[in-house]
Amino acid sequence: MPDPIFSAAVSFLSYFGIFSILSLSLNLEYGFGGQPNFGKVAFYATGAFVAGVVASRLMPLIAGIAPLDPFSPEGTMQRVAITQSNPYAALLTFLIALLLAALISGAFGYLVSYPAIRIREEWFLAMVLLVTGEILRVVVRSYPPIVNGYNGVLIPNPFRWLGDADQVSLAYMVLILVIALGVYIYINKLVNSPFGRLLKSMRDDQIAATSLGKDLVKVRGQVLILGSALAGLAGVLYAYYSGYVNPDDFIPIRTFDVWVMVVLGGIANNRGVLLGAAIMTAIDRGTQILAIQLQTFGGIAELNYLRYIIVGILMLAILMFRQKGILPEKPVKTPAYEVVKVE
Amino acid sequence: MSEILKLEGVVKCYESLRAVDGVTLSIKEGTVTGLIGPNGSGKSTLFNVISGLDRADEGKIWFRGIRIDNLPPHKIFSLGLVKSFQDPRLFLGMTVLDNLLVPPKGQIGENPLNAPIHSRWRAQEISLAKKSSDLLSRLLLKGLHKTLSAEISGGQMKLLEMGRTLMADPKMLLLDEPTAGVAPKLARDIFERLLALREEFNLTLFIIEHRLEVLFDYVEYVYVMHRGKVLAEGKPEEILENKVVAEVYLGG
Ligand SMILES: Nc1ncnc2c1ncn2[C@@H]1O[C@H](COP(=O)(O)OP(=O)(O)OP(=O)(O)O)[C@@H](O)[C@H]1O
Ligand SMILES: [Mg+2]
Repeated sequence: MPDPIFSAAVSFLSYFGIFSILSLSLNLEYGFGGQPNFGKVAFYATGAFVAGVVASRLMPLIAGIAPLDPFSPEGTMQRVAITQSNPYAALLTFLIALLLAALISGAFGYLVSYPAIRIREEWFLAMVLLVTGEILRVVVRSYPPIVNGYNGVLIPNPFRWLGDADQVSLAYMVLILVIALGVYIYINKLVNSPFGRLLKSMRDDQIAATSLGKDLVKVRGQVLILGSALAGLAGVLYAYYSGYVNPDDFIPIRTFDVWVMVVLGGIANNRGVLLGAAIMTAIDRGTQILAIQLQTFGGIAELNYLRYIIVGILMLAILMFRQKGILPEKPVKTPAYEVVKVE
Repeated sequence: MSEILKLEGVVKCYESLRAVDGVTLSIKEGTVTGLIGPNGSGKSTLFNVISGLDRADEGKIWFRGIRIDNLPPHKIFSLGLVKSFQDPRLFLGMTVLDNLLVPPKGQIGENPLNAPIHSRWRAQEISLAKKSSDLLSRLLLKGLHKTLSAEISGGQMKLLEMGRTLMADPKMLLLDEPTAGVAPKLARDIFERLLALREEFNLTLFIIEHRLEVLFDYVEYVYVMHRGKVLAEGKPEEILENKVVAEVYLGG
């Protein structure tokens, strides 16, 4: 008998970790670099698809077993059996999925933005990325060889060999949080540097930045590679968390959710963004749990709408009273401030 | 003295308006040259074309012997030709100090692979900070380094704008009305400091300025623009005596 509070906490923290990575990566692109990525979901999805492909095709090979048809019930059973008995194959597959997803999502981010970043008007990039996300979803859902089309593919948790379901989800949650913490530390170091200044100068005034020697096409490419690679990581984590890769999970509204986290918590403030991710996760999980409870008691309300209403009210409140988000931006923190003193 | 900047028949049109209409000029290394002319005569447009922000429709431009009329602005910057803006274009979401730390060339920490490893660029950052600190006091911006650049006065913005160009180790500066909006006494002070810098770094200065009484005390040569064309050129005293120039200025 699973403890409902335990499962709610594990689910909250797991989602929080995944959303943190996504929103930190959008903050890097938009908050610091001013690049409006309206296609975050494309790179998140890419990560999940990579996880689906790697887990279903590569894992049997790593385990040294002749692979069965990955989308057949036997193939699924084979994967489950491997993760139950072979921790080495399960974890190595997961690690490979993470690395490949970062590489492929990063490369994909660069490729699709390649023409658009050559144009100064950044809304062009926003539209290209928005469309990319939808095209990717539609292609993958209608082309079975990748992840079995709209039927999706089951990928068992890399900790399944632990046996007990609670232990599996707990271990995986810890892994997600460790990776999210790593991403947070990495991004904080990355932006509190001359590179962070470069990003902000591009965001604040492109013309001044170019005339001060900055090659903005290059910088835009760099920031989109990094942001997309990180979103790819989040996609792998999500795919393994839900245990299922389903193209229809990656609808455009996912991008919007990430934007809300960034705008709510604090544009160009990484801590603020974590706060935004926590608030959105709470709303998301809260309404989800409420919906399940109400259903068991024969409730009629469609809770998804409640979620949209809460998010909408929060956004309005932020835009009216705190445009800079809950935690406002801070100066780029480098040793320069220890040298120059106020007098 | 060798020639550092040369323009030949440069034209820039905005639809039917020939904002710059066949400008030919040449500037020697280490000199201070003024560019004057009535409002709308094409001075700022000419600077934008030289610095690569606007592309010339016709004509050729050389900087230190290199053709630059086809280069993007960041390449022209890296050759050592740096421009300030008439209306300051500061990075308004950044502090005064961060604004000064954007332009320096060759910053190791601007590479995203180096950026997270602070030990790789720490020493360079500290030496740039010392340079900024020095510049902040010279520009009378001392103590404001942590202030957002959006929150300083118009005159201070102008000074910071100029400070930013100086942080770039330029060989030549194109300054678009460096003293507009600053107090008259400070205007002279700015010119004094610019001249001192020229001595120190062998800087070449090309300055648009409406305060002729100040400008003429500091420049060696002057170009006068009118309706996109060079109307006259010469030493300040020659320009002062030029009847056509006086007419253009008085007649508007
Ligand atoms: N981006 C633009 N689009 C269209 N017309 C422009 C543009 N920039 C400048 N102009 C026009 O070109 C002409 C020259 O403008 P410019 O700003 O170069 O003059 P200026 O000599 O710098 O004047 P001021 O002393 O007032 O700064 C003006 O008639 C101006 O209206
Ligand atoms: Mg002008």
